[in-house]
Amino acid sequence: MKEQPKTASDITREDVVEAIARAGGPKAVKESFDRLRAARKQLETNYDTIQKEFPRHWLAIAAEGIIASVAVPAEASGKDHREALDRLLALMEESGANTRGCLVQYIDPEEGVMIL
Amino acid sequence: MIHGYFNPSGRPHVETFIMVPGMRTMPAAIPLLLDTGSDVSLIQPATGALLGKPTESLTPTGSSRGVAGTLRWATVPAVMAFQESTWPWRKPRMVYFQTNIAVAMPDQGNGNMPSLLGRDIIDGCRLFYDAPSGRLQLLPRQPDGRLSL
Repeated sequence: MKEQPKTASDITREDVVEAIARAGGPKAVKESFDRLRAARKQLETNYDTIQKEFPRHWLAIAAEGIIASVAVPAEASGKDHREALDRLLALMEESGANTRGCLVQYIDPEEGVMIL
Repeated sequence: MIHGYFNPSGRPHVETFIMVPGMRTMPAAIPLLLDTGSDVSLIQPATGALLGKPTESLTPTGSSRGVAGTLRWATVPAVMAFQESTWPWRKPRMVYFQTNIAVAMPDQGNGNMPSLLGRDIIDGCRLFYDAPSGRLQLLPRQPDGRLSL
């Protein structure tokens, strides 16, 4: 069995090619970048609406638009955020949308959008 | 040339494709907040969730204090790849860096913090930062490799 890289310098070009293959190959990687860019455009185009309608929400935005949202309480703790994120991920899976190249973000009412 | 952007809140971001060889995580394209004050790139729990929760198999190896409090993290070897713009008639390609990134443990308070592109990558590039004109560019000086897409 191949030894796992312990530090960055142990990583070989083969490891990189293998990781890309695991992601679906070079075309899938390019598509991920394209989809992420399209998701960002969705956010920028609908920024005012999103800020108004989804304060204190975790959002998953795909190239097609918002695919899932979960609200968190006003005084949310770290645990609340983790639970909200878990629900968001579950909703993303249920939506059946292509989540590779998906924007996951928290809409902070004071700080605005936080792209994560 | 790697092109970044300023999000609607004015924060500088760069999109990267993160791969963690040897871990059962999913490589994914994600935006990172450009942070020249961060020694290393840092993956926060929300982004980690997209990668398949890498913290579940990690033991914290260090901690640091920042404006948001104390953060526990584990270091993992990773590849950070960026889409590189070239001449239009050329095949699209990506440039990558091998680096040891910090993966933050899901502690109290960091649930909604952004992941960071730190100086481990920034120092390997020339940075052009012009917020008023919306231009954010990184010119890789000594990347670890390039691949066609």
